[in-house]
Amino acid sequence: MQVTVNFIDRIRVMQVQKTITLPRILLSAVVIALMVGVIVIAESKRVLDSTKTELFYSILDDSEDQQLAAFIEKTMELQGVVTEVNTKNGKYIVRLKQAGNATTLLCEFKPGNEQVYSQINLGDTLQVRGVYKGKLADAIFQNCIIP
Amino acid sequence: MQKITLITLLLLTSLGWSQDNQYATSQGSVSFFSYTPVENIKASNDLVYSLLDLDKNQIAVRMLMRAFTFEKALMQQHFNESYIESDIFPKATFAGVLENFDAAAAQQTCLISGTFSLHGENQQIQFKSTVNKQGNSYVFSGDFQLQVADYNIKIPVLLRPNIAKTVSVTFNFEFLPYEAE
Repeated sequence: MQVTVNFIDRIRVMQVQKTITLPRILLSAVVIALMVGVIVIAESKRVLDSTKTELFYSILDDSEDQQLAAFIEKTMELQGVVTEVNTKNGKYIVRLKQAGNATTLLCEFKPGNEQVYSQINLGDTLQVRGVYKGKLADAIFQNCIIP
Repeated sequence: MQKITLITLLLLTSLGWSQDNQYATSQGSVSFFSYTPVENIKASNDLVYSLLDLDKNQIAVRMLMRAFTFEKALMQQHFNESYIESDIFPKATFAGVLENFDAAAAQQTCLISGTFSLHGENQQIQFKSTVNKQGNSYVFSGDFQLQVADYNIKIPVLLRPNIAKTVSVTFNFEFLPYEAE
C-alpha cells in the first residue's frame, strides 16, 4: 500500500516537473531568440545609415581631417566602380571610384573570402562594407567585405 | 597655331598627363617589430602613401596609425588608444632627401635622411634603402631602428618588459609614375 502511494507521488512529482520544464525550455528559447535578434539589430546599426554616408561623400573631397574624424572607425556601405585590384601580403586591395567624387576609396579586404575577391574585375560596380580609417590621397577602408 | 596648341593640350589632358620624374604609391608597406623575452609584437600597414620627386631627389611619406594591423585585436587597441594616441596624432610622416641616388641605375643602395614625425615628435633620422628599377617603377626597401623614447610614447611601468626600447621598422614601396587626376 505504502509502495503504491510512493509510486503515485513520484508520478505526480514528475508530471509537475514536466509542466515546469516545458515552459522553461520555451522561455529560454524565446530569450535566446531575442538575444540573437538584439545582436543582429546592433550589428546592422553599427553600419552608418545612408544619410550619414551621403554626408561623408559630400565632404570627402575638400574637407579637413577634423570634419572627417567623426567617421573614423565607423562601418560604412560603399559603392563604386573598380579602377584597381591588387593583392598585398595576401590581402586584396581594391580602389573604387564614385561618380561625383574626385577622392577614390581604397578598400583593404578582410582575409578569408579570397575566392569571392578573386572574381572582382576592373570596371565592376561593387558594393562594399568597410571600416573608415582616415584619408590620405584616398579615403582608406579596412576589414572590407562584400555584404 | 592656337588651334594646334589647344588640341595638344586637350590630348595631353585626356591621356592623363604624367608629370616628369614624379612617382607615387598609395600601397606602400611599413611594418614594425618589437622583440622582448616576454612577447613579440608585429604590426603592418599596406596602405601607406608616398611621393617621390626625382627632379629634387625628395621623398615624402604619410601613413595612418589606425591602419596598422596587429595579430591580436587587444594589442591594436592599446597601440591606438594608450601609446600612439591615434585620435590626437592620427598620422606619421616622413620628409627626406635621397643622397647619392642614380635614377638610371638598375640596382643601388642609397642613403635617405630627413624628419620623421610620430606622436607629435619630430626626429632627424638617416637610413639606407635598396632601390631596384623595374621597368618604369622604382622599388625602395629597407629597414631602420626607432627609439621609442624619442617619440614621447608613454608605456606603463607594468608593461615595460613587454615592449622593446628599440623597434625595428621595415618598409617596401613600389613607386609608379605619378598620374595627374
